[in-house]
Amino acid sequence: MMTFVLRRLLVSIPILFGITVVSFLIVHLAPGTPYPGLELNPKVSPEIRRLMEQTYHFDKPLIARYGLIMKDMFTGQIRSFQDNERVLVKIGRRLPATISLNIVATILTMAGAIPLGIYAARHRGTWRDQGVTVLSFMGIALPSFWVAYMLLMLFVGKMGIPVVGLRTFGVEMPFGVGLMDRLWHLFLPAVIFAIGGIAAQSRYMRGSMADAMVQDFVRTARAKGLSDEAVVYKHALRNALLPMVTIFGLLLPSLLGGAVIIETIFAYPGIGRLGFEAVMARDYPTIMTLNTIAAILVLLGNLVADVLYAVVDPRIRYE
Amino acid sequence: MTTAQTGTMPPKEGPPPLGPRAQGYWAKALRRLRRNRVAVVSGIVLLLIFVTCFTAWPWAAEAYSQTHYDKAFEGPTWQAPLGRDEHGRNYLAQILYGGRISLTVGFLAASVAVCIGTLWGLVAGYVGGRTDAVMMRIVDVLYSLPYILLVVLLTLVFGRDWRVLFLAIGAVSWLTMARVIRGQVLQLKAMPFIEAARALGLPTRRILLVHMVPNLAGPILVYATLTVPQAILQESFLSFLGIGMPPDYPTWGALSQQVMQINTLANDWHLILPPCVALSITLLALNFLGDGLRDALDPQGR
Amino acid sequence: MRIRTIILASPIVLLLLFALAFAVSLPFFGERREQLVMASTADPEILNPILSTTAPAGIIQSFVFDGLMRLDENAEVEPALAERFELTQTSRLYFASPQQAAAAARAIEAHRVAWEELGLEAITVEADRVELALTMPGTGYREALFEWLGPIEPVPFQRWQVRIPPDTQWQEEPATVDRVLAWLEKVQAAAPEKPRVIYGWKNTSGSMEIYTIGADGRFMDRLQTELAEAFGTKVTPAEASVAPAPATPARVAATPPASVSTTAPATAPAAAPAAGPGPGMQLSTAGPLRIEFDRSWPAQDEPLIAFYLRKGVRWHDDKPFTSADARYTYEALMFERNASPRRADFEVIKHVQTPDEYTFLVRYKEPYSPCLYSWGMDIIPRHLLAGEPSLRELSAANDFNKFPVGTGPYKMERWATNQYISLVRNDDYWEGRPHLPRIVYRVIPDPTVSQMEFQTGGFDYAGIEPHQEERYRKDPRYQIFEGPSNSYNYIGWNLQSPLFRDKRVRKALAHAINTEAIIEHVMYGNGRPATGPYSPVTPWWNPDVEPFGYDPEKARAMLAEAGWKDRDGDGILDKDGQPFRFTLILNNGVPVRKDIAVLTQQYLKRIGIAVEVIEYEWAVFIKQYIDARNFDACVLGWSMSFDQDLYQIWHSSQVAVPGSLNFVSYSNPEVDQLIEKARTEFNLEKVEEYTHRISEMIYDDQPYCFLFYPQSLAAMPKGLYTVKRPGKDGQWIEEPIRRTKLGFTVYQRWWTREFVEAHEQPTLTPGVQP
Repeated sequence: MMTFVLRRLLVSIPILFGITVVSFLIVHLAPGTPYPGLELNPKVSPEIRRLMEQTYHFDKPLIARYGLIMKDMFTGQIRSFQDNERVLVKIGRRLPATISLNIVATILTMAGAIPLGIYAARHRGTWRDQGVTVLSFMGIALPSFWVAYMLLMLFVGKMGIPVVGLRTFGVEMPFGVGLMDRLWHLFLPAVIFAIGGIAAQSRYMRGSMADAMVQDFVRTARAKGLSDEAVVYKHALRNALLPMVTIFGLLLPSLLGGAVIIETIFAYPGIGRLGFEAVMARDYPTIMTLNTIAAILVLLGNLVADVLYAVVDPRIRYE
Repeated sequence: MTTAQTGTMPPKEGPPPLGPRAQGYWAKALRRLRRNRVAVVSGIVLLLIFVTCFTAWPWAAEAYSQTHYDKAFEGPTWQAPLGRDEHGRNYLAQILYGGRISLTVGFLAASVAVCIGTLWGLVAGYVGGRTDAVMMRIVDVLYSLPYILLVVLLTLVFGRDWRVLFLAIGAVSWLTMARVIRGQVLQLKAMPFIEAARALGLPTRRILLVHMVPNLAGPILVYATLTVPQAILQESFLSFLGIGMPPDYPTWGALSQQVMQINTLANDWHLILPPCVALSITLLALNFLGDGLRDALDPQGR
Repeated sequence: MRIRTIILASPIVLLLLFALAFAVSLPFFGERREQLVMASTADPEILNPILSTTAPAGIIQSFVFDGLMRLDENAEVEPALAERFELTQTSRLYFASPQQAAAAARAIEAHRVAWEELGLEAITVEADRVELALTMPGTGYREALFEWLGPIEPVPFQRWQVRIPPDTQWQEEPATVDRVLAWLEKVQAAAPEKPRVIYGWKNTSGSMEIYTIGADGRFMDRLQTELAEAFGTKVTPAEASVAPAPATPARVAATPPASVSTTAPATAPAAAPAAGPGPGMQLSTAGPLRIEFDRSWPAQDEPLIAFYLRKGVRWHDDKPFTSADARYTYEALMFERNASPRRADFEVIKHVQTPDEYTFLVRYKEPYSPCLYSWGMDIIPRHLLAGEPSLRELSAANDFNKFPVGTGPYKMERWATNQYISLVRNDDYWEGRPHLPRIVYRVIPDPTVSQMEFQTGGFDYAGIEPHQEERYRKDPRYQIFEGPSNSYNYIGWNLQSPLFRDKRVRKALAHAINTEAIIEHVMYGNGRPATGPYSPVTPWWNPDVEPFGYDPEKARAMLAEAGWKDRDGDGILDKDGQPFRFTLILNNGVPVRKDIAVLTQQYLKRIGIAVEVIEYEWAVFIKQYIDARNFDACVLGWSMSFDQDLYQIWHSSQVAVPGSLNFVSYSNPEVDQLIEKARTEFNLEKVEEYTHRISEMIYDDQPYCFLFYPQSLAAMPKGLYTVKRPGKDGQWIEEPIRRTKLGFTVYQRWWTREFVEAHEQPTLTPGVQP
C-alpha cells in the first residue's frame, strides 16, 4: 500500500511538470497583453508600452519567463499582473464563497439524487422509472444559464426578492439573520448547480443500485424473508453507495473549476470567475497558479479515492 | 463542479465487453432499439429537426442577412411567425439558421472527440503498463483543469473561428471516451480470441483493426451520440460567456442568451422561448437516443 | 429504517431550511435610502491613479482623490486642490557673439511700447544670450520679436535623440544614461564656445535627449565619437567603426536647409546651411549608440506653471496636504519602475520645484498647452508611499493600492472583492461636507441580470443600449440623460494603398456611405454625423463644417472623374484594368462596428465597389494589421480626451513611428503646422481658431470616413436625486440633475435626496471648515 502511494506520487511529478509547461505555452501563445486598452490610446506612447513589457518580463525569452514564473510559484510569491497582489491571497479570498456554494450544492445533489436513483431502480422498467429518466434528461438538456435567467425573472423581475450576490445588498442585519440571508442567497445558485448534478448522479445511483439488487447476498437476504424495504435500504444501498465514494475524490478539484456561468449570473465572487477574468485579462500568473493547483488537487483526489476504495472494499489490494 | 455542468459523471470503467462479434449482433441490437419507443420517437424528432434545419438553409441564410430596421421588434406575423429581432430580421429564419450551426458544431466536435478518445483509449489499454498509467494520469489531470478556461485559451490561441471552436470543444470532450474505450480494451485483451490472435503472432495493427475495433463499435457509437449534446451545450456556455461562435453564426445557445439581454423583463415570449426550446428538444432527443443505443448494444449493461 | 427516513426526509428538510432562511430575512429586505448605489460589470484592478487603466478604477478614484485642476461642467479647466495658478514663460535667444546679443537686446528695448501686447515683461542679457520674461507662455511672441531683430539672427536651439540600440550591454546597465549625462555635463563645462551642449535629458534608462545650440553634423559626429570613446570601448570592446568624420561635411551640405522644421518657419530666420542638419539625419548607424537629429527652434521657450495650493486640506488620515505631495506625484509618474501609463503628458516637464509648502512650480521643456488638463491628475500622498521600492511592489503592510487614501469627498470604507466597494463621506472635505453618507459601487457581471436589478431598484442609474432607449423613454418612471459623447466612429482608409491615395476617391466614398441611415439603423438614431476629429462636447469642434451628405450619383460622378468606371461591365468599377475591391477589417465582439461594416459593404456595392469584411481578435487586429499598416480600410472609433492635441493621431511625423496612431499615414504639411501651433498656443481663442481650421481641413481631406458621434444614454428613476452644490459666492445651488458636457455625473459628489435632507443636521456653508 505504501509503495503504491509512493509510486503514484512519483509518477505525478513529471505529470505536474508537463501540466505547467503546457499551460504556460497555451497561455503565452494566446495573442494579447496583460495591459489591454493601452494599444490605441493617444496618451500612451510606444516608450510606455516598452516599459510595460519590461515590467511584465515580456522582453525576455520564453524559457526565462517560464523560469521566473515557476520560481515565484514554488516560493508562493507569485503575483497577479493586474494588481500585483499575491495570487494565493487572491484565491484565498474567493475560497469561502466557492466552498460554501459547493458544499450546499453537493448536499442538495445527494439529497435529490439518492432517493431518485433508488426510486428508479426499485421500479425498473415501469413508467415511474421512465419518468425519472425523462426528468433527469431534462436537467441535462436545459442550459443552466437559461434556467437561471428564468428563475431570476421570476424572483427578481416579478417578485422583487433579492437573490443576487452573497447577501442582501446594502441592508444591515443582525448576525443570525445575516447568516440566514446568506443561506437564502445560496439557494438559487445551488439549485441550478444541483439540477445538472441530480440528473447525472441519479442515473448513476440507479445503475449501481440495480447492480446491487441482483447480487447474491441481496437475494439471500430476501430469501431470509426480510422485508423489501430492509433489503433495499440496508443491504443493497450500502453496496450501491460504494462507487459514490470515488465521486468525493473528484469533488475536491472541481472546487477550483468553479462554475463560471452561475457565478457570473448571480454575481457570486467565486473562483470560477477569478479564472475566467484572469484569462480575459491575460493575467498569466493567476491562470498558471489555478491550473497547477487544480492539477495537484486532482492527482491527490484520485489517489485518495483509490485508497478509500481499498479501505471500503477489502477485496481490492494494491501491490 | 465542472462535471455537473456537462451532466455526466466520468465512469471509471465502461460497460463489460461484448465478446467476439456474434453473428447477428447488430441485427439483434436494431431489433432491441426498435422496441424502445422513446428512442424511436427521439430518432424521428432528430431526423425532422435535421431535415428542417438543413433544407431551410438557403432560405434561412438569405432571410437572416435581410435587415428591416423599420420592423424591429415586430410581433409574430404571417411572414415572420416568430416575430422579428432588434434588427428586424425574421426570427424563424434565425432559429433555423442557428440550428444548422449548432448541430454542425455538435457533430464535428463529437467526431473530433471520438477520434482522439478512441485512439488514446486504444493505445493506453492495449500497450498497458507504464504507458497506460501515464496516459490515464494525463486524462485524470485534464479532467481537472477548469475546462472552460481551457476552451477559452484554445480559442484565444487560434483565433475566434468556427473551425477552432469545434476543435477546441472536441479537444476537451474526448476524456470520457478514452476512459470507456480503455476499459473495454483491457477486458477484450483478456478474451481468448485476442490471446489466440496474439499467440498466432498476428501483427499488432491487424489485431487492433480487425479484432478490437469492430468489437468497440458499440460503445463508440453510444458515447459518440452522448457527446454530441454535450458539445452543443458547451458551445452554448461559451456563447453565454461571449466567446462562442463568431457573431455571424447565431447558434441556439447564443440566441437564447442574446434574446434575454435585449428583452430583459419585456416578456416577449415569442423571442425568449424558441431558441431554448429547440435546443432542449434536440439535446433531449440525442440523450434518449444515446440511452436507447446503450441499452440496445449492450444488454448486460443494464 | 432509519436510513430510509434520513434519505427520504433530507430533501424536504433542506427545502424547509431554505424556506426558513427566506422567511427570517424577508422582513429585512428593505430599501436603502442613505446610499447612492451604482453598478458595473467588473471590479477595478487597482486603485492607484498612477497605475490604473480601467474605467471602474477611474470612477472610484474620482471620489477618493482630487487633482490640482479639474474639469468643470463645460469641460474647461478650473482649479481644485490648487487654489489658483499662474502661467509664465522664460525664453532664451542665443546669438553668435555677445556683441550680437547686445545688439538684439537694444533692438528689443527700442520697442518697449509694444512689450505689453506680446506679454513681454523684462529682458536680461548675459554673454551671448538674451533672456525674455513673458507673462503668457507659447510661441506667439516670436513673429513680432523677429521683426524687431531684423537681420540679427539667433542661433537655433536643437534637440537630438540618443538611440541606444536594444540588445547591447548599454541597455543592460541602468546607470548608462546617467553616466552619459555626467559626461555631457563635463563636455558642457569644458566647451563654452558655440556650438555647445545646453543640457542632456534622461527619459528612461534606455533613452535620452541632448539639447544643443547651433550644433551641426560635424559637431554631433565628434560628440558621438567622443561618447563612444568614453564608453563604447569599455562597454563593447570590439567596437571600432564610428562614423567616418570626413564624410560628414558633404552629407550636411547635401541636406536642404529649408527642411529644418521649426514651429514658426515663415518668420523664423532660417538656420545657416552649415548649421542645419536635416530632420531624421543619422550621423552614424554603427556603434553602441546613435545620435539622431530631432528638431530645432529659433529660441528656447520654457513655460512655467506656478500652482498656489489650497491651505488646510487634509488627507483622509488627517495628515496635511502640501506641495511635497504634488511633487511626489510627479516623481511617481516619471519613476521608471512604476511604468505609469499616464506618463506621456509629463515627459515634457523639465523639472518641478517646491519653494514652500503651498507653492508648486512646474517648468516645461517646451510650450505644451494641454499641460493644464494633465494636472487633473489625481494627487497621491507622499507620506504613505515614499520609501517603497515602487508603486507596483508595495511592502506587505502597505495596502494603498487596494485601500487608497486621498483628499477627495469620499473615503474608502470597504472593498469586498467582486461584490462591492463602499465609500463613506469625508466630513472634512475642503469644499464642504457631501450630503449622502455613503456611495456604493456594486459589481454585477452579467448585463441581463444588471438590467433586472436596475429595474427593481438594485442600483440607481444605468447606462442603456441604443435599442433600449425607446422602451425607457416610454416608461414614466425613468428620466433619460443623453448627449453626445467625446468620441466618434469612423472608417479609416489606408492612404498608402493606391486605391485611397486620390482625395477625390475618398470624397466620393463619403458621399456614397449613408451616414444618417447608419445612425438610424445601428444606433437607433442615437448619434450625430461626425464632421471631423473633434467632438461637439469640446470647444475645438467646428460647428460650420457641413457633413458631406448621402449622394450616390455625385459619388459615381466623382469616381468617374478620378478614372474609376465600369469598363468591363462586371458591375465593379475599374481603372487601368484593376477592379475597385478592398477588404474592410474590424475587431470582433463589437456589434456596432460589425453593423457599420456590413452597411458600408451594402452602400459601396451600389456604386460598384466590392468590399470584403473580415473580423479579427483585438490583439491580432492591432498587432498584425493596424500596427503593421497592413490593411486597406478599417472600422474603428476614437475616445478622445478633452484637450486639443492631435499630434499622435494626425501629425505626419508619426507616420514612420512604429506602433504610432497615425496608422492611415495621413500627411498634410499645413495640418502639421496647425497641430503644432495648437499644442503650443495658450490663448484658448487662438487654439479654437486653429482647431476649427484643422477640423475643416481634415474633414475635407477625408483620411477617415467620419461616421458619427454616438449619443451616450443613461436612465435613472425620476426625481431620485437632486444636486445641491456650493456656488462660487459661498451659497448652495440647488438644481435637478442635468446632463452637461461631462455627462450627468459631474456633480455626483453633491447629489442628495429627500430622505437624507430630512434626516441630517443642516449642512454647513460650503468651503468652511468646521
